[in-house]
Amino acid sequence: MSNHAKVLLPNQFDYGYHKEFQRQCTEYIDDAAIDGIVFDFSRVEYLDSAALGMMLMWQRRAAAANKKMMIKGAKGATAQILAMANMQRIFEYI
Amino acid sequence: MNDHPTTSHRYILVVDDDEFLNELFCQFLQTKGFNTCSAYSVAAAMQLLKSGAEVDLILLDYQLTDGNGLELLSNINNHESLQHPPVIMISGNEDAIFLENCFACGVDDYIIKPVNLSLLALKVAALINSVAMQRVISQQNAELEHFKREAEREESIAKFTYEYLLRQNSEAINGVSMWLKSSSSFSGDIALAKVSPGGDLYFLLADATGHGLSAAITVMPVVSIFNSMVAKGFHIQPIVTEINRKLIRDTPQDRFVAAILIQMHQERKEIDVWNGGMPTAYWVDQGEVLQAFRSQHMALGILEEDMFDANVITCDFPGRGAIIAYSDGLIEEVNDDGNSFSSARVDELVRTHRGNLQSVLIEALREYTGRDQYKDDVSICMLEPETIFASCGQQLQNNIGRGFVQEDIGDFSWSVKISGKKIASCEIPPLCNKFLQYLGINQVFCQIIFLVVSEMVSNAIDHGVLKLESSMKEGEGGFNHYFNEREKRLSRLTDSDFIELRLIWQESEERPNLEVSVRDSGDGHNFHSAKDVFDSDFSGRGLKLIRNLAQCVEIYPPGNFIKAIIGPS
Repeated sequence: MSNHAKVLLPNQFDYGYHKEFQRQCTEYIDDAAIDGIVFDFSRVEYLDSAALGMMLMWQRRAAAANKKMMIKGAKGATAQILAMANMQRIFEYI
Repeated sequence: MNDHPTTSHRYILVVDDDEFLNELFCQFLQTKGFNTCSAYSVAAAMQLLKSGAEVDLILLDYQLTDGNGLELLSNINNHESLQHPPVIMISGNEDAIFLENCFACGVDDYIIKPVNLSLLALKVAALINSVAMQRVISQQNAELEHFKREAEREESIAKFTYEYLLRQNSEAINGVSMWLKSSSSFSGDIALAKVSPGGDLYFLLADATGHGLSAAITVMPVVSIFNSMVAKGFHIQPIVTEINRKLIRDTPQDRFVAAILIQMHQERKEIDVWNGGMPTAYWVDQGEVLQAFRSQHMALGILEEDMFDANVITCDFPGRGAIIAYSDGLIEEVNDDGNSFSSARVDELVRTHRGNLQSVLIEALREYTGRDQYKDDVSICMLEPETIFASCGQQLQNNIGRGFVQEDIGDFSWSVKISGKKIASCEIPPLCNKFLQYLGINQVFCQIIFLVVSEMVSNAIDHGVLKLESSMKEGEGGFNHYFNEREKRLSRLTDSDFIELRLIWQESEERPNLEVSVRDSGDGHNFHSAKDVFDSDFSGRGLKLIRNLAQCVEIYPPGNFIKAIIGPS
């Protein structure tokens, strides 16, 4: 049984969210009971490269801890921007 | 009975020309707790009544000096404005015809002389009670009538509001067939269809709690948010999020709205569905269920924002079939035996019937109940994606043919320049976004512009004004070091530091485009390190994104001025 934690991303996902993002990612990576982290993009309307940078940085740490990171609910321009940054190569879409 | 607490408030008028008897009746009635007054003639009694004295009952002797009791009664009846208290007639005449005549003239009861006082007391009390009761009943009737009128008035407001909402917000679209059967009062069902500027079809079927005005009030924000966000090209995920937020904030806790929202993407030929609290919708082709959209969420207006889930189900359009969505009025409607139509019956009909499923369901419900009036609103809607994609696509082509994907905005330019310490606190991208949304720029384009502006502005601040090097982020703890240094330098900004953003929107003949430029007070920074997008270098990744999204990007020497041109997709 896989046990995924969910990070519900905000409407505007940029550097302003990094403290909260860091807090949740740290908590879930440190939690041995959790083997995967789902980024829920269903609320995200605006994002920038700082957000992509944060995701990539934490993806490396998650991978080092043998944990999967996944993307869910990205639509419209948000999906377009994630695709442009080739996020599908290292994040599983669910 | 005589000790009834109401007797002391009752006034009895004793009309008898025999002063002794008159006094006797009065004293006796007073011992029973009534208030009394006396009159010794028809004229005196009339005068007393005309003076407006309060009289709850008249004890009337038939034979009076200036006329008889019946004459007094007809005098009273001739005066519309006078009150008509109940009357007990006293007479020695026991003739049946005489008695009949008295009752016909409006006498309520009759006592034969010689008067049995205890019988008199019983009759007075009984009559006064029954009159009091009648008064209560007629007062309650009047109140009921009032409430009924009030309810009817509210009902008509609800109906008007509902019809107004429908008229203002729904479009007739080929391939969208909406059947709504309202119960006698508006019970909260509403169905809307609308095409976005990008040619996507949006469909909403909602069922609000309650009925009448309270349902209409709950439905109103749902409709207005749906309408305005579709017009701006928002995806249904932010639309349901916003509706939920609004209902949580602005409507009572026990009010919520079950809803199913469907978006059909013209370009990607994809269908997104969000179902919160509505019965299962089916995508079905000739009895084959291609997809069942079960309710995956709670209705709108229940969950606080951090608990709410806006995620949709996405599926590719297989090029056939139709989607059928309905309200719970269909499955809950009962037949004469008290059994409901049931979702099992819907499921069976969906899987066994060919042809127009909407008509099949409408007919099945009518046959099952033997009626065509239902106790709740019943809605059954059918969407045929093939027809919809074709008609919306045609509409989109017509719009593009006329030169614009969206409504005419007109040329505009907008610029903002910020200097000194304000650079640290002023969030330029959201400010710019608010302005563009205000002008009515399509949401997807707003999102792209937001990204481009964010990248250009943060590059200009970090590498231009603050002269930070991306290389500082490298290595263990590099990230934190970079941002600590950033904070430090932001606090040292002076008035000669500035950043300037300029937008120029041009509606050329083909399609409109937007020129975004950012200039900063820095010495120019090196944009050439645009490395692979996986690199942790922000400026590199940012610039690569801009280059991907813009039609062209130019950086002017010494590197403190960047300009990009973007067009709506």
